[in-house]
Amino acid sequence: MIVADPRVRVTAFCDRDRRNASLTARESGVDAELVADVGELAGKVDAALVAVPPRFHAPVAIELMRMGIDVLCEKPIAITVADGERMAEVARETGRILAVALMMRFFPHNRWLADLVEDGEIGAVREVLVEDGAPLDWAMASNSYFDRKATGGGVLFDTGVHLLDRVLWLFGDLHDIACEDDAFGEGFESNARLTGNLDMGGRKVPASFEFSWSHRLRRSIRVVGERGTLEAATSNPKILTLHRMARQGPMEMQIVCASHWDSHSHYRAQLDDFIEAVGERRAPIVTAESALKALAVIETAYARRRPMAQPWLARRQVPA
Amino acid sequence: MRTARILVTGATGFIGSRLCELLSLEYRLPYRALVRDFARATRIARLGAELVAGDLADVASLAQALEGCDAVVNLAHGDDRGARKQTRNLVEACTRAGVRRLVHISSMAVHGPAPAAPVLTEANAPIRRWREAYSDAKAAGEAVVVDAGRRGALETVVLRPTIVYGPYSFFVTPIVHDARAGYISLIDGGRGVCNAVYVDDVCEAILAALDRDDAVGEAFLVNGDCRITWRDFITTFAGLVEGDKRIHDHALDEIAAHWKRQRPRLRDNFGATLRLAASPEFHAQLGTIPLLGRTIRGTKELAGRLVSPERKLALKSRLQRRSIAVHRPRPPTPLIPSEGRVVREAYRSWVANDHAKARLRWRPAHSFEEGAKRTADWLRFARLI
Repeated sequence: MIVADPRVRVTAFCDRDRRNASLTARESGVDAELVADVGELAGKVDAALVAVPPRFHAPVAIELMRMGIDVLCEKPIAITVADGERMAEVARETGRILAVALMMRFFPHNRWLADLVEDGEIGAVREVLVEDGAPLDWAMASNSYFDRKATGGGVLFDTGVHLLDRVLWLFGDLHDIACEDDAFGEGFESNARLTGNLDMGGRKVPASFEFSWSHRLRRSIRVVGERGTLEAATSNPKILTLHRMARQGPMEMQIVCASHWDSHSHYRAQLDDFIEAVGERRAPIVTAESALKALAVIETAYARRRPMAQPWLARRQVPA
Repeated sequence: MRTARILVTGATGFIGSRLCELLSLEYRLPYRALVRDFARATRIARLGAELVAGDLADVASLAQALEGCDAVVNLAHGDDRGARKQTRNLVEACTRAGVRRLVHISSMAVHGPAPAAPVLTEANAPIRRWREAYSDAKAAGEAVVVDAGRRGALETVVLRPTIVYGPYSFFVTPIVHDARAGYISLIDGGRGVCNAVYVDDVCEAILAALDRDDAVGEAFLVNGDCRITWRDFITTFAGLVEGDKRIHDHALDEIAAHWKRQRPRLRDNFGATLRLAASPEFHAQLGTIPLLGRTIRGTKELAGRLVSPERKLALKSRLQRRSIAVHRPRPPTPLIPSEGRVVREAYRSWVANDHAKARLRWRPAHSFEEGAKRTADWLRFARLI
């Protein structure tokens, strides 16, 4: 996608392991310089896409911005809010663009969801239900997903950040946060359940978020109102579904929010936004400041985490 | 023996993950989990234990993983063809690293798909090559371990579990998926013997095999105490799913006839060659040779002028084995059981666990009802029921 964009010329691939950089060059068919250290990029690039493990987002992005390079940084923005704030501060100091790759912000049904809720289409909102779950099946070349030296958490940190970010962006801050997960000690949770209250139209609205790396969940945001439910499913970003009880029984109405949208469209929209932000020297849609809100919720949730009930785990011994 | 550190291979699998949970949360023994594919490690990554990248096929990774370990629990199987070589790699790496004890998890399958004895024991059941890939691979792996034990290279204990079930079991989840689709699939009335053992009881046997010195050099069948049939097993888990279900009982000869029809015949070779010749991917590859590319394009243009579009579509459908779409709603039909499932569920022997009880001082702690209840707790958590 980046290589095909006429506004961009890929001039360098950077990886500590040179084999990874050369593999990327070979697979993309780009004749670019291969470098092993971020410092070597000075004067060679105007903008960089940072896709190192999350723990290195802050040091790498800060080094790049200090070299005068604009940054599109993978999500979550950082491991801690303090790190993310430091990144935002350096972006302000250096006048660099710092965008965060939370691509679900570009889903066409987001705005429709917020507008229809605000317009009272489903009446007063009773609750917001968010679920995202599927067995993890990313191809992994290393253990960086499960290494505290590389990342900051499990499914809540990695998958949850997308959904939390969208809900906070659309409906405002989350208060009274509570969280339970299935991890032990320094382990990485593969299931997490988070609850809190959203401030919607001056009223407290309960919200629950459930994420899983072990099994399938609904994968959507549902806003339940007195007169129906609006659902934005992750699998179909151009459609918003209105569930309502009609005289004939349960009714589902599909609202088309975009005429054309495929599985790459949100990545393209995100890249367009970053390229335009760089060209026009304007703020990107996903700023560091706005991305930090979800990270702050995750940080609070981890600080308050309680063990999730897993009754099949206890050892049962033969009575003596 | 008192272990300093255990290396668990096959740690991301069904038994391996549960063993890691018990090692971390209950047994509180130091261990290291060998991981071949980190995408499968979410369950053990919850435990905060040491995960180390490695593969039984990669000797260097084993040497590194074994550093500081004095015991190994081998739950890795990999692919059937590589079992002997990979087990040999592990045994040799253990010997070089000075590992004292290897507990090797084999399978009741080493005794073949249809033992003659009505009650199978370690003493009366032979181990041969049964021309069944999984059985033969397990037998080959076990032979490597037993041989190393006899040579005195290290202490070995072999465990041969039966039908291991519990949370995440691949014997349970297909039954639940079938029941959710509205049916229960049985083979031969479900009369086959189901030698079911709850996964925690297998882990307790592993712990005993690590602990007890008088287990060294022995092989143990590890089975539960409940005498149930496959009908009991399948209907118990299908019964956890709400709603009506139809029972589909597959006769053994019906299944055999189906799989016989699926075996390749001589004329299938011609069919496959024709399909390859007609496939667009093949044309695209051939077309990269300039001379052939021009010929193919010319022939296609000529054929396009001579053959009507309808005829062309029908020919393509035939060659690509696609029937022309007809929309006719059909009730869901259960798949014909695989040959592997038939081997399991047409089993007629009970498997004894007396040797394990006597020598390992082990007893299964779960009746089938208790094991099923704990499995149901997980099925609810995983939103499968």
